[in-house]
Amino acid sequence: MSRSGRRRHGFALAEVVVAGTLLLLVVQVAWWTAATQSLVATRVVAGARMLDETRLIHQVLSTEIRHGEAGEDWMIDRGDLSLRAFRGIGFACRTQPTDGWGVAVAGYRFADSDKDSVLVLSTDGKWRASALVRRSRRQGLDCQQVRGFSPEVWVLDPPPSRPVAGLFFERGEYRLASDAFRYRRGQGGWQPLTGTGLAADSSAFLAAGGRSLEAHVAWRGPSPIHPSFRWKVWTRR
Amino acid sequence: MDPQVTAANRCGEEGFALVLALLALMVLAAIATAAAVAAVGQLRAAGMAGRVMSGRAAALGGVERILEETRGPPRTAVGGEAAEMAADSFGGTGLRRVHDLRVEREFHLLIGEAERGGGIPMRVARVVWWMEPESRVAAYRAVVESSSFATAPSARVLVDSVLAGRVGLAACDSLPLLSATLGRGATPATGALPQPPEWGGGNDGPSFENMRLGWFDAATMAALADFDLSGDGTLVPGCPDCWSGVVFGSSRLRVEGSGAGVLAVDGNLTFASGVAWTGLVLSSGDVTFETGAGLAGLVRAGGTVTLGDSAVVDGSACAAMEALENAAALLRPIPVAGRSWIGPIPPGVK
Repeated sequence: MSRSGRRRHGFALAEVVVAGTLLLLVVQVAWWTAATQSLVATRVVAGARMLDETRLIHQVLSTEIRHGEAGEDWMIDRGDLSLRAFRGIGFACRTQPTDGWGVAVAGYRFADSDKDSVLVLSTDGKWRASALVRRSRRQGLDCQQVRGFSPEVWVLDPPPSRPVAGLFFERGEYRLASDAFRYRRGQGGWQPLTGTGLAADSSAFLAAGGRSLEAHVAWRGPSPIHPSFRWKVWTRR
Repeated sequence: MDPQVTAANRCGEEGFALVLALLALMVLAAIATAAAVAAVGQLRAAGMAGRVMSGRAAALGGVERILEETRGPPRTAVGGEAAEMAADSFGGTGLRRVHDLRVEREFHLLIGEAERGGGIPMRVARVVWWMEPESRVAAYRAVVESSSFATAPSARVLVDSVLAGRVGLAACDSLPLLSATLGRGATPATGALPQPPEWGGGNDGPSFENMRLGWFDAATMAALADFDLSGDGTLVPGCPDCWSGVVFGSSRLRVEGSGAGVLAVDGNLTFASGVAWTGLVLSSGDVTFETGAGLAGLVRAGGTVTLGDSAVVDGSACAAMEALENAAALLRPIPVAGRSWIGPIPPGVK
């Protein structure tokens, strides 16, 4: 009994040394593993965020440019993309009211006479811009039934002659500045559409050819992927 | 040694190690989960973006295919129900449709819709021009429209039966648009050339300057022609009574045999003596009818129209219309010049 107790005390010292060393080793390895995993995970998450935001910029630009004519609907002005931001379309109804143009309308949002204008196609094949003076929902109009389109009456200035279809739009600008991709409507304030982290000095919009826009987008911070992207978007003809 | 104390100590040591191991695992699992969540999110976003792109491309392709393959007059009425032009599958799980909406007599909206495998139904729209013979002929204000006109004393331009039938030709006075335009009193024998988009380039581009038929320019008509006689070709129609469709020529074209159809010449046109043509004649330059030559139809020429001795132009809107109706190559939808894709149209509702 007493021998066993002495041996136990002797082993306790060795155990402390060995256990301490092992514990230190385990803690170091665990710390290193956790730190490495954390770094990798941080980079993966940062890369994912970068991809998400780059995808958003790509989607926004391609959607905005797709329906516009270079020089007429969009242009690069001192590094900013200035454009007619189309928000929906309308086509002429079969019967026309006396107080405006009866149209079946669909879009990302409703037309708004406070901020929108309308580009109207007439039977002479010309597109002409008019101010949207007033719009109102009109259920009684005889319009062709297409899913998602609803009848409205638009009062335009100048009134269109034999209109076929119209595109309503707001004036807007996009820019890559102040650490983010930003948009402003008219002369309003710049609103960020992405989080910060954009390397503004390495990002730019460039006009490429007659009808395409080249975007250079670079991001700051650690990333498992190359942090700069370059692509073109085209007007569809 | 107290077995109870020893067991208790061992239990305490084992529990501590286990807790440490569990904590470490939890930290590692949390980090790995964050990375996995980000990666899965990327996969989902990329998958959805891929399905959206696939749907959009299919919708665009559907509209392009309709433009490429559709021939003949439209099936829709102005303001009437939309006609389904195509409905097929793509990529295994995708479905797409194209609808035709006739907004004006010659203006249509083609709406393509496609969805792939649980993605968002994407929609695109294109404004197309689809020639309607009645509208084309109703745009005439005289039997001969040209820059200038010269005639021999014995030549004649007949205007008294523009909407009446002829041998082998049905009357067209019951057509509302023709009655409303050419049916009002006597149609003038000669008149000036109309303004764009009936004739001339305007803002539609230089290709329309010399000659046009609606939104067909000279190059398009040459490409679509049933007979192309470019150069100094001489047309000898195969049969006098059959419709030749679209006959196109450039530079100088001399017609030495009788025939019928749409005769479009980017240059000067001469009808040889005794030749009789039925239909519509378009020329960017001069049109000359030699002695005894005749036409039943309408003429539009950028230069001078000259009628030789005993030449007769029998004004007939019905002949011009029937020539256009028999020009199958022209009965097809084409995109309007300039901006034709319009949008945005929000994704369809399932």
